[in-house]
Amino acid sequence: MMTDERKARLPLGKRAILLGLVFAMVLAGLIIWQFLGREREYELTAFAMGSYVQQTVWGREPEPEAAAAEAVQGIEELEREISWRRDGGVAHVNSQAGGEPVALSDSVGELLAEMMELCERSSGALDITLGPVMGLWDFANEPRLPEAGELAERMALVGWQEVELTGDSLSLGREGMSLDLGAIGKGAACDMALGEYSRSQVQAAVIAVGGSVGLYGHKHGGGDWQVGVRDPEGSGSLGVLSLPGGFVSTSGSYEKYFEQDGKKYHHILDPRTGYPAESGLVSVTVWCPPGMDVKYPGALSDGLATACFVLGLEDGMELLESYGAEGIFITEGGDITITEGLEGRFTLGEGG
Amino acid sequence: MERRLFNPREWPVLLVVALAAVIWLALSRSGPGGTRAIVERGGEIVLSRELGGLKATETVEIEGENGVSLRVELSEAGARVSETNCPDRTCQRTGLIARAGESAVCLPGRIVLRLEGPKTGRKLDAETY
Repeated sequence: MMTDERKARLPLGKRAILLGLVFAMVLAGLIIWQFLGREREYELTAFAMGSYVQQTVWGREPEPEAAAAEAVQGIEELEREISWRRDGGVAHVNSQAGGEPVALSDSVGELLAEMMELCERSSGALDITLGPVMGLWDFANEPRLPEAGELAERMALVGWQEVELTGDSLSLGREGMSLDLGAIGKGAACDMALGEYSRSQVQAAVIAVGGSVGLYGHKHGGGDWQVGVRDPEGSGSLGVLSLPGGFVSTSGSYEKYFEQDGKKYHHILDPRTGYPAESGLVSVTVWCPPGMDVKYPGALSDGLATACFVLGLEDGMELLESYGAEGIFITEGGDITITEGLEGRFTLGEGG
Repeated sequence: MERRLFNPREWPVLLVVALAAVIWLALSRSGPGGTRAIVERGGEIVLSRELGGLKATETVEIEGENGVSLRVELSEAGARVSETNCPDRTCQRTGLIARAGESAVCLPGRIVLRLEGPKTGRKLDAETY
């Protein structure tokens, strides 16, 4: 019987090799796990579309960095095309109002077609031809309460029904009319970014253009994306949405307003009156979940948030349902109503 | 014949190797301990401060673009823009931000105050407003 311990061992040299081998394998495994096999998280912030743009992108080098840069570039190009302040398609359309149709890029044509449908389905609670009235209130620079007379004059130039869109060719019915896509620009920018991500090899990404959010892929580390909903009363987040993906936008009267003669005037105008919407709401957040049958779900979430804010709680809920979108409505009294699809996905005041 | 790979006296060596690996893993997976306040101007980080260690409220003046200046208050509870000469004061109205992922943005001055948290644990991926 070989009971002697010393005789049971391998020779000293072999043991040293084995020990070294184990050590080397552990080390090599760790290095590979740490530096090669692991997804990188890349953050990029920028100013575009008149907003603060924040991206976090996960993927293997060098994909995240390239995709984030492409997304910013794409958003800048989109802004040039759809901002009335710039010199692209929409600015051209406005300068040609009442005249010949203007040819737009295919993608902008499709975007406008979907937004025109929203104008119709919301009974004009969203109107992309509100430009003349927005210009009068001038919320971006020196906002003021317009005189009733001048407001009526400008209101006569508002009407999405007078937009003629054939394919990618667009014209405005009368001189003085103008498109203003401010209500959907940030959401459309999120669409643009997610388009870039899907053409790249990135695994997951989140983009926020101002307060509009696009969620791409499966969150790194698993679980749902956590999206904070801003408290209209002004103290950080009111609550948190846990979402598997899709697009989120919010319209709130707290975001931009001015006071004149003791009255508050916020920037979300009712296209039917020309005055700030008074629907009893202070904020509407809309989620367009993944898989909706539209090309621009980000722009839709943005436009729906505005339309729902103008329509008020009941009509807004109905509009969301017709699109298969979900939402959070906050009234002036502080009551919070969520649609069925967000039950279990919205948590009040969590964390902190 | 039974053959052992290692002498019992050699197990401590293996244990140390395994322990070192575990510690390294743990360290590499978790970020810095607490929440940091970051101030960006025109996309550049001009201030980064750990909030966890702050004993008293700290005030910092930030000069932004277009003649906008603002005062930022940092404390253990979070960060806020307490004063600004900016006409639209959106950043100030945002109030106290306390959770990683939250931000207060001054567009005219191109200044962003935001909170960053450790990589692990709960934090916001984005904010809608």
